[in-house]
Amino acid sequence: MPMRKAIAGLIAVAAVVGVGAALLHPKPTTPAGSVLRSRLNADIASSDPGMKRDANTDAVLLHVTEGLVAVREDGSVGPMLANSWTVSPDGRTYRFTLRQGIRFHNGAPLTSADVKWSLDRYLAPGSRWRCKPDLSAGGIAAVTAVDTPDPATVEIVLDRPAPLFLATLARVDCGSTAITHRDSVGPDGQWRYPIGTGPFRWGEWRHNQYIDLIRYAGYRPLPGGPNGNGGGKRALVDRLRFTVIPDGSAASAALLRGSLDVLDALAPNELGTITGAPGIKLDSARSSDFYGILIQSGAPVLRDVRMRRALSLSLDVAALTRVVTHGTGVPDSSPIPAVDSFYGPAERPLVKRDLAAARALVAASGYRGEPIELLTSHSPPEFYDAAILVQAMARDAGINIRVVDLDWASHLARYSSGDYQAMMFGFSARLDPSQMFGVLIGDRATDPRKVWNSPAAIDLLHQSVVTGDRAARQQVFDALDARFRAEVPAIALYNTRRVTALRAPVTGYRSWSAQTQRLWNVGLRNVR
Amino acid sequence: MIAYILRRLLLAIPTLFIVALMVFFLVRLIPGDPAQVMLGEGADPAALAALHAELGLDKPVYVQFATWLGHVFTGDLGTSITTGEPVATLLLTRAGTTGVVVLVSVGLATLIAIVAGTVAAWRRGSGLDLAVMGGASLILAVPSFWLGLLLLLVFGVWLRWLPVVGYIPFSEDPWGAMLFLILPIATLTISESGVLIRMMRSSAIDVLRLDYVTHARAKGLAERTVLARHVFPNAFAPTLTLVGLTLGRLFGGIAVIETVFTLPGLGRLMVTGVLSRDYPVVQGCLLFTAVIYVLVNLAVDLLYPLFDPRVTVE
Repeated sequence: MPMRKAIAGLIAVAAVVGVGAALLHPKPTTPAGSVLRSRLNADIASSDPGMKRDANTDAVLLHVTEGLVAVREDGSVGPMLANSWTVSPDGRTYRFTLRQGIRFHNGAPLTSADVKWSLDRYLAPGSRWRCKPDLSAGGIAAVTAVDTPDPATVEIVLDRPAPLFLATLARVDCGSTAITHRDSVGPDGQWRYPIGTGPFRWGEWRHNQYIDLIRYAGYRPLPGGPNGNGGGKRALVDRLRFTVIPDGSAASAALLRGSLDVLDALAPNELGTITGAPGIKLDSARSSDFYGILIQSGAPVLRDVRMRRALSLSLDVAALTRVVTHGTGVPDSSPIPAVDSFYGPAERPLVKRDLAAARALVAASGYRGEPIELLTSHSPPEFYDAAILVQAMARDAGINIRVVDLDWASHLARYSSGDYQAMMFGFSARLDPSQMFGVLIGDRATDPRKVWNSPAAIDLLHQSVVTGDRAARQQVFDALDARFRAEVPAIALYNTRRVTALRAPVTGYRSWSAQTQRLWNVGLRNVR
Repeated sequence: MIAYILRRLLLAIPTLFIVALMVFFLVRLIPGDPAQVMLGEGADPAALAALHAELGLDKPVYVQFATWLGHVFTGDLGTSITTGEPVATLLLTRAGTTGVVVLVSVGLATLIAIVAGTVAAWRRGSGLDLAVMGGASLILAVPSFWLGLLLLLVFGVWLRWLPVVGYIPFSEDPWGAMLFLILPIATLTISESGVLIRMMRSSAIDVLRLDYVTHARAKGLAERTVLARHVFPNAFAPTLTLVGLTLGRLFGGIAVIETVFTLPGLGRLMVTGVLSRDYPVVQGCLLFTAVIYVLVNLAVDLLYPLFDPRVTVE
């Protein structure tokens, strides 16, 4: 009898909790029509483009919103909401002509007033827009005025010429300077959701579960095919569902099972599970990213440039890349990504492992085996593997590395404060070398994240953003690369290859160096 | 009885206050900045400072604590730094999912433990006992995430019987919701049954040695009756304590299962909160878990007299 009571009690409690859970959950809409399902490894940070963001946020919002211009496949800038533009002779005024017939997802027509509203919001005091520092005093140029001579024309006035102005507007991490409708913000001034002009409109965001985007029937594509984040974009499915699946193995299982159609950013250690699986195909592209070791050149031991060079010479970059990325990465000793058009003969040579030279430099520096802390984390997991290999390789040159494993938030905090000797770190894709050098170069006194504060480097970086002449910029980047190798403020190791696994019915997927998944012009075979 | 319950609940208040105090300050001792995590590696220092001010993180810690505690007393656990949602709402929605998984799993594990543990004790030293104990030891040795992935691979990918990721609320599709919960519940049931089987067997062996069991057998009672009426109630009391502790632990601790099966539960909420340094969420989760612990232990204490007449509620 007591056993029966206990069983009945357990069942009753479970039933009560089940009913409670059912009542607590809001009833979601039921997906209908063709659905293309993709995976995110973490939830998006917000639905506000370029404001509160990370790479996942950028990727999702690029389907919903568009800017005046967009970055093309080759890294150049092309039209998006602006049909054309002119630059004044003094290089300070950009006059954009908007495309006709564009409507926001709420049906309102796109006008110059909407562009001004969006830009004013990005540049307002207190705004956290990613590109605000770049377009304010101290950046490439400050925006001094946004004028609207007529509903189809926008004039943006800068305080000085800025050849990289359009490239900055098109930056993915700045949300492509998305033009959103003012109803995206509620009467209380709080962001609601993006009302944009993209091929998909905002559907439902269930935190840490999924984001649904719905095909926008009123979308007006540019002529031609898709090109980078611009060109002729089309929604070929009724709905996009970005499902948040943090665990890589679970995501692989979901793809194999058919619960996912697109598995982007496949971790190198999951490649073995997916490669060769029936009904699965792979697509990949080299990324414009940077993975390497950041060095605090004012820190103990590593303040001596001979020790930094010795550490660099102790590493077999090609072998390390092969092991850490499971053969998918590209070894690269330059901060300029190997896929970049500015990656030339000066940047191409890898720093070769030379243990004799490394040991000689170690001896000359008077190093006595003091431990050098190398911070790392498992975000991504390759960081940890790379740190262990660096430790082993450096030991061969008599350098004593102590690997300190942190969680990502702690890792990021140490990066931001500059409180470390050396750390594994990576920067996501930057489509212009000035941006990549820009994350390394700067005044450490005002920005502790910067690792390279030599006046010559700062001057060269400045030169790279004030000229638009390609040959002149190539010379500047070559000079920066040479200085980078001599001063060793960081050690560049590799660029990743972004691998995306797709189920066989998926058509039209194109990986690219900017690392974002683009699901416009992607369809499902046998689906209208 | 009511006076006893009220006294226990009143005694829980200082416990929960100490938990709140410790949680608040310990969370802030972990290196990392929620504003930095939110804005990423390229965040402008001015934007970081603005976000600190917006989140109230620029105020002294004791001021932040006093403000938070004041709000807790009014039922307001704050707002998630990363999602902007009220923490209380997040906890209630997530606790439902976790609650179903944990209660059903522990319930099933308890049933398995009662049957397997009692039978193994009854047939102590036999091949059956060996098999039960071997199985329990194997379960204890297998990490739950590995078991989850294995079940996912077999029943989700190879056999294609069950979905592998996602979750459908009961309100949308009860049958579909059950399908999504079968694998996580199976994983947790198997994982938790190992220790419960061992405990049940050990207690049952002790009880089977007692004189009143011999007396019951001597009266000519059937073995089934002896086991169900005389052995089970006394042997189950220690297991019940373990069940209570297990329930309390799992309510805040099935993050691994929830991550593997992408369930939107309390554990995953807490892990995400810790990784993003979402202080209000972590504080809310831990406080909620502490409350659950207190309530589950109270419930276990109230259930004790049902199984052991020597225990009375005073």
